[in-house]
Order: sequence, then C-alpha cells, then structure tokens
Amino acid sequence: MLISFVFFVAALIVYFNLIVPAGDEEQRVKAQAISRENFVKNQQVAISQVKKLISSYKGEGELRDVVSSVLPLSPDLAGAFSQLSGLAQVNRLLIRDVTVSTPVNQNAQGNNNADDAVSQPLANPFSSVDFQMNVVGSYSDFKSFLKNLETNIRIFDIKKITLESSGKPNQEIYNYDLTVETYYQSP
Amino acid sequence: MALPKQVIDRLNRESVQTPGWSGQLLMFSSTIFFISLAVYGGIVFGYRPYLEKQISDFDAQIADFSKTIPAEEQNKLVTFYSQIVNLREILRQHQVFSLLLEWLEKNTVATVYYNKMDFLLSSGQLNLLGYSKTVDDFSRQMIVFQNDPLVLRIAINSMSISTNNMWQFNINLFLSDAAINQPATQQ
Repeated sequence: MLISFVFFVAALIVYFNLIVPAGDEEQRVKAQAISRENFVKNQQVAISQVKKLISSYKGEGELRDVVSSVLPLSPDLAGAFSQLSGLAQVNRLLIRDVTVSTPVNQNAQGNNNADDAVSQPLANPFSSVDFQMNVVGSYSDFKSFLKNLETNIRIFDIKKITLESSGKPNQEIYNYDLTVETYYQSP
Repeated sequence: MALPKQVIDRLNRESVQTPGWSGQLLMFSSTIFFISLAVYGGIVFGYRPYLEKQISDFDAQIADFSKTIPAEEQNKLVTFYSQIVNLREILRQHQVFSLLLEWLEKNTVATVYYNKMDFLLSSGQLNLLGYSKTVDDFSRQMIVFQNDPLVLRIAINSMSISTNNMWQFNINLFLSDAAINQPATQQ
C-alpha cells in the first residue's frame, strides 16, 4: 500500500515537474518548426515564380530594349537632348537656348494609392531631369513639335510653357519657353 | 483441546484468499509512474530532437534559397519590374499639352487673339495676354470660358484700350486637374 502511494506520488511529480514543462518547451519548438516550414513553403512558391519570371524576362529581350528606350537605366542626357533637338529640327523650330537641371529623385510609389504602394514594395524609384528650352518658329510647327514630343519613345512631359508673339506684324512667328521633364530609372 | 485438522486447513486457505486490492493498486500506480516516465523520455529524447532536426533542416533550406537565384539575376529582375511599375505611373500622369492648345483654339471667339500665353502645370494656371476688337467680344470670350467645365475660375487682371484701338486684356484661367492631365476627355 505504501509502495503504491509512493509510485502514485512519484508519477504526479514526474507529470507536473517534468512532463508539463517539457510539453511547454516542445510546443515552443514546434511553433518555431511550423513557422519555418511555412516560410520555406512560401519561399519555394516565390522562388518558383521568380524563376518563371526570369526565364520569361530572358526571352523578352526586345521588350526590355523598348522599356529601356522609354525609361532608360541612366539619365542619358545626350540621348534626350538629341531627341529634343531632332524633333525641333524636323518641325522647323530654331533652338535658341537649352538648360539642363540636376536630376531629381522621385518616387512613383509616393504618388500611388495605398494599395499600390503595398503591392509594389520592391520597385526602385525613378528620377527626372528638366530641360528648359527656348525655341522660335511658327505656331503650326510648334503644335506639330508638341505632338511629336508627346508621342516620342522616351517620355517627355511639359511642366511649363510660355508662348509669346515675336512682335513681327503679319507673321505667325512665336517665341516659346518650355520646361520639359524626362525620366530615367534609378539604380 | 486442539482444533480439528479440517478447521486448521480451512483457516489457512482463507488467509491466502485475503482481498487483492492492494496488489492491484500497486500495479496501477506503478503503471502510471512508468507511463509518465516513458512520456517524459519520449518528449525529451524522441520528439524534441525530431523537431530540432526539422528546424535545422529548414534553416539549411532557407540558407540555400539565397544561392538559388544569383544576386545579379535578382537585381536585373527588380530593375525591370521597377521600370514597368514606374512607367505605369509616369504614363498615368503623362501630359498631352497639344490638346489644351486645341481646346483653346476651339474656345476662342473669332475676333479675339492672343499674343502671349503662359501655362504652369503645377498650378494649372493659364495666363493669357491678348486683344479683342470690342468690349463685347471680350465679354463673349469670358462667357465662353466661364461656361466651359474645364475652367474652374477666371481672373481678369487688366483690360485697357491699346494704341491700335483694340482692347488689350490680361486674364488668368484656373483649369481643373482633369483638364490638365487629360484635356481630351473634357472636349
């Protein structure tokens, strides 16, 4: 009878002093294992998607070239100036003055709504460069220049424009001050 | 007087058949004790090492993830993704200024002409300096602007008769955001 009592008490001691703490510790370790398992599963899915994207990205060399023409990976000031002056020449406008501002870092996400910002955490911001131009020419040629500028492969946005008669009577010649903004992808 | 032999035998047998509950209790308590020991041993020496091995396996997998896709490929993909995301944003805000000129042409009274125009994108403010043949022409021009949904507000800065007997005016048109971003939709 006494031995039975001792066994019973020993069983209780083992349960409360050893099994219960060990069970708590085991739960903690199990939770760690489950969280790592979920992380690994999610990462495996993400990696397989990224691999698919990389393989499709490698096959889309032409698309990459087009995208890089629209939004280059560097300021490419010479290229931008060449396009602006080419468009002016094609439309018979005389460039009298060009000033280029320092590139400014922008953030597309900052302009998005909250949902977009959440869905685009990986995107690097883009930067912009301003060209201040003074050109002279006829109104119709200037309109044609604007249309070409707005549909140019590299994106140009007009921020400020001043159009002023050159003062010569019976001539449709105007003086134009333009501030044109163009963009490039920040590294 | 000695007891008869049958009585002595019967008494001896009865003592052997004493109740076995104490033995069963011993068996029960010892079983519980050994089971609790076995459970503790199973947790400490079986399940926990198994979980810890799982965790170390997952950690090893996680460490291998970074080697799965080379950093250069990751950077290229992130850059391309950034270009696409930023392009979407830039194109969403792309200005089509030539349409605003067309709108101005369409909404100008025949006897009114401008010799200076100033447009600032950030404020949506269009400053016009021009001439009208008569005050009525100028009034009609103001009514045209006032009735157009593109125009939020008109400010008349000055109006005076000029040396060529025409009325010279200076006005500010405050245009709506929609008008500035996509003037074509308002036409």
